[in-house]
Amino acid sequence: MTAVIEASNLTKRYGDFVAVDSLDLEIGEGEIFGFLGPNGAGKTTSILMLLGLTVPTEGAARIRGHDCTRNPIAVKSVTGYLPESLGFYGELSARENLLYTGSLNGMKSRDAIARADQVLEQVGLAERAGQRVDQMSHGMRQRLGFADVLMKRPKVVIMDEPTQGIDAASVPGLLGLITNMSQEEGITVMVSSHQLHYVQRICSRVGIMSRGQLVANGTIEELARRSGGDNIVIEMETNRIDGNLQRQLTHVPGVKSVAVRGNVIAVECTEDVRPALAAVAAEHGDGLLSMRTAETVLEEIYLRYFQEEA
Amino acid sequence: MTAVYWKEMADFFATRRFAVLLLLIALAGVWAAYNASQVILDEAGQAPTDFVFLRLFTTSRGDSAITFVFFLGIFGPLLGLSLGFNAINDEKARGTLPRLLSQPIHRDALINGKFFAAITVLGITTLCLVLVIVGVGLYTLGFGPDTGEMARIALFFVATLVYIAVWLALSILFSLVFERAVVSAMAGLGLWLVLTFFVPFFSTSIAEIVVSEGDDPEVVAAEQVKWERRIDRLSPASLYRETTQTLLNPQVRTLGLVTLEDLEGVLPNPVPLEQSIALVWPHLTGMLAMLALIFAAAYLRFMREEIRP
Repeated sequence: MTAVIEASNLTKRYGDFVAVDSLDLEIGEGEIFGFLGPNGAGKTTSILMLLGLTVPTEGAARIRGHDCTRNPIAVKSVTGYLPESLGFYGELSARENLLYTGSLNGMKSRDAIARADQVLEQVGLAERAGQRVDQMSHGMRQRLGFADVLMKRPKVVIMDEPTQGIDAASVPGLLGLITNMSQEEGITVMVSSHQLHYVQRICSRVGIMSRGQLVANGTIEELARRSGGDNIVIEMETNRIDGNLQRQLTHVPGVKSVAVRGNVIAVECTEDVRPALAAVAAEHGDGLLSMRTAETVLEEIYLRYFQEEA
Repeated sequence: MTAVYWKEMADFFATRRFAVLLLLIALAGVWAAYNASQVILDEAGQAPTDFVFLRLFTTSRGDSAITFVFFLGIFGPLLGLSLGFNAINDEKARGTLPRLLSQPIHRDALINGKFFAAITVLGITTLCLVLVIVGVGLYTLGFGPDTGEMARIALFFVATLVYIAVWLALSILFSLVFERAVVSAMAGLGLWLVLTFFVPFFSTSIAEIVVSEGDDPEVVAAEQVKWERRIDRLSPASLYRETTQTLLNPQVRTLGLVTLEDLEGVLPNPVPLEQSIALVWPHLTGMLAMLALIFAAAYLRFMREEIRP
């Protein structure tokens, strides 16, 4: 895998305060990378250093081989940036705002018009192309932000809270757009977000920042193993749940704990013991309706990291 | 930089604030020039016939000192301030600054583009105003300016542009120093009031404090006047006033203290253009130096600023 985004010992200090501490990171072509962490963890500062908007105190960052500090123009010509609150000129229309972005990217007028119409279509704002931006809803502006990022045909896209403030019905469309960027156009995407369930749906790998340091980096499965051992959770749905069944299940070799969540019994095991669990349920006489290994939820992993820290 | 430049040009011409100020200055200018032309016509045959056309810019009716030059000296800075007071802080408030600077442009392209677009707008505006006055003169007097007058009007235009640009640079600096546009506008207006109206008041008092004692009262008075001029010239308004007085009135021979002995035997002939330029050269370079220093301060501040979304 070719590394498109690289950071090596990337550090930013403001006086005695270390905002980003020796960040080492590699993100490959076409990858969707989730960049997580609480507020003040150093995510935005790292992003600004990657974009060449802030000079690192130490270390270096490269995007598609261009040094972010020495050659920020080359970096910005291939990188689209969608900040959390992207500003537009309210008195201009959606298309006019995009044309300005086109002209800043050196696009010829005719090409910029064609591209603006294309990206507006892509984000579902073709009908609103002539509407003034100050008359648009937050969700529409956020979609316009996506269009703005796509104007320059980027190879890398860095997004900060891309789904923030968007109604639930519009989110799948935007997540689909991010996935398409990666899968169809080979764009490398770095997403910083607190909406972990969305991150889990689209990201192939995540990194967790805490107090300026990258404390975790890997796929969700890898992080789950690292943070909580090799335990797996098996969810059993039965006709009825009683204390007796719960007790019997805890005696199955390999089972660490049993918990009831609604009409589902969640069994935490050190290995896959589904046949033994099914046998216990059958012996107990409860009708077993379904059994599956539960998907590791990113939110749990995330919380585990910060519980450990606390 | 060109993309920023053209966008800003379009924005400036589209704002109501700018249109209202421009209309105000244009109407006042036409009114002042029309009055001046009536005075010139009334005095035909009595007043000197050289450089009559220039008197359109500097003559007022009756005891009023409201000439076109006076209007431009007072309200020109407001034009400059109006184009720059929200140059950067407005981009921050809208959240457009990170979006602009994440495009493949150098950071200074933004501040340079804004500055040069505003200078162009001010240049076009000032030129139009001057041409309107010339038009009023042609209509009312029935003749146009000669070559010497045109050269002096051209230099007056350059001096006016530099003067207004000083205020523009100052307002851009304030737009970086103050987060809110309204605060930077108030700071600009406050400084304009101080430098345009209060410095002349205070300069006399300060000169009297600095030079208060001496054996010869005439020497003391002369020293006080010198100090008063020195303090006055710290203000771009004073530099501009003396520059325009000299350029548009070829009878002005000196900008220093003139004694009766100095005037003895002097023929009342207008001075050549070269001599007028020599007289105002320190003023022009002084205003240019102010412009360069203030813009450099704004430039450095912007280049070192941390841009965060």
